[in-house]
Amino acid sequence: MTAEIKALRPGPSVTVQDLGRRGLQRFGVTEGGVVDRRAHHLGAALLRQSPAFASLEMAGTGGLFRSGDQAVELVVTGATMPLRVGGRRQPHATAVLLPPETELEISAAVAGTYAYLSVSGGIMTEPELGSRSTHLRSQMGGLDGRTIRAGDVLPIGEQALAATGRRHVESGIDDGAFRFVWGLHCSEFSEHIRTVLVEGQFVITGHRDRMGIRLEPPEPFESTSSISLPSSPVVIGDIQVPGDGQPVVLIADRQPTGGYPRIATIVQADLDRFAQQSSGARVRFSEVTIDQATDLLDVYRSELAALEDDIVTPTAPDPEVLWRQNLISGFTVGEQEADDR
Amino acid sequence: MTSIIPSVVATGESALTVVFGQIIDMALNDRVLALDQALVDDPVPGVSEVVPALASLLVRFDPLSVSRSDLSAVLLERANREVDQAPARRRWTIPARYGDEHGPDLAYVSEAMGLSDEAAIQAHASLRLRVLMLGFAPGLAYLGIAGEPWDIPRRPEVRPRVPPGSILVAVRQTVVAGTAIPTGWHHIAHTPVPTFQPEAADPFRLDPGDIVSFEPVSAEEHACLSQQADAGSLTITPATDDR
Repeated sequence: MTAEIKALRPGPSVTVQDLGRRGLQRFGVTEGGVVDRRAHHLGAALLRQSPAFASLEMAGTGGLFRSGDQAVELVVTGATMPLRVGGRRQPHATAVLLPPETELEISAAVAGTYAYLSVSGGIMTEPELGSRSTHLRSQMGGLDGRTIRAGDVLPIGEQALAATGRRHVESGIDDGAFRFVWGLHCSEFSEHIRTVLVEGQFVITGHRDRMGIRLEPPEPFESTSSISLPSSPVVIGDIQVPGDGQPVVLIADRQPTGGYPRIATIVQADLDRFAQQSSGARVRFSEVTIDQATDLLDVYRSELAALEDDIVTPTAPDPEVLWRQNLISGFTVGEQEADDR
Repeated sequence: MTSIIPSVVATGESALTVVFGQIIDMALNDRVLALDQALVDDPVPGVSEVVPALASLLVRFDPLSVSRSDLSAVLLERANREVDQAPARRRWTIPARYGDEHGPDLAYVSEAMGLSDEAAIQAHASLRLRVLMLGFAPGLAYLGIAGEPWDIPRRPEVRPRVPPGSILVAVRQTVVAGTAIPTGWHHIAHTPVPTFQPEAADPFRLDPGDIVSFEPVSAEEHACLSQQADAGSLTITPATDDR
């Protein structure tokens, strides 16, 4: 018997995601996968398992879930979504044990957009074209190629159950400009518009999804070319400019090829943080050279490999942790949390 | 056309794009396909993926394990090679039902071309088209390039859904959809032959460079073939092209 998690009242945008379908862009297949790679990798690191395991990506809010007849070891990373296990508040980015037949509530994000529910053993839906990632447009992967609905039961793989209590210590907040390199069609834009990209302030609009995030620029971005460009392959982070002059940053579910001009590409090291920006947020961009972008990629990869360095593993069972998980009773914590039910 | 001068452009820190031109043209596509084949026949270490398109080709690589400038030089050298003829590919004859509910835009297209429906069907079926690239959706093939009469603009409104196997035309190209898609192109026919089968060992039927012709079939033949397709027993076999 394997564990499972049942969706009672899932949020509107909850999907199974892993690291995507690589190597198939030439066949018109979207690579997809988790929007915030670092948050997904962190979940895997906390549970001491491979990031190849699938998690549940939750945009905006997670919702209400329930375990089956087996306990589930899990962690929520990424956007800060208040977490309750059996009604008790749990800390963010901390591996907890959801006892059998117990409700798990993941509330609306207080910071960020995308959160990840990772479980020990991974979400084990049927892979399609080598990945469990959900691509809604082509109805591929995940659970029947769609968002999770009330009543869905998600199978979980064999659990190691060796991580409860492990927590990540975040090392500071970055709120700087998002770095980019010039794009394939940057010369289709005037010197003035290129200056606006570097110096202007842009607003993240509400027109956003896993495919792209539309920006409100300080002034409309018009390309100088009058001919339409032949479709060419797209790169993640490309800033594409359709006819209406509103730039769109292409992320995980970008189409494999596109015909609109692309002025710049956000460096991969900054994409996780960019995609987490809330609608309404103001952002700025700064130009880097290709060599600088490559150095940033090197640093980013090192950071992913070193997530364990900022993870604290309890050396002995922490009574407070066990109490929070209803595994023991009668333990006095001191003052109760104000928001305990 | 005037001589083609390829360029290699960094697109993001982990990819290079080889650009042969900025228009839709068979000679440019010839060079894309030739370079694509060269990268298959003689792979360059560090390259993780190659994506051919109409007039350009994306090469994804790890900049921390192979030098960008070295790779760029290799790609430019190969892109500059003379191409006598595009590599031999497969040739497909795809059964297609034109018009009625399988091609609701046939009348619009034939009128735009100043032809009867029957003449437009014959004109389309007489085309020998190349798979220029795949894109937009899994297994969706762009075929071309047809002559001037086929330079019909896209529809102003997008049709929210056409079924897998839909055959669409616009701007001198033909699209064969492998999945259900929204489209602004003209829906003139349908093939029951599955061009995208995710469960199969070889999920994608059409490759860039393949040659495609359509064979008009009757409504009854289409129904019979559809039944075979539903039962999982419909396949087509390509001939080897000998151009």
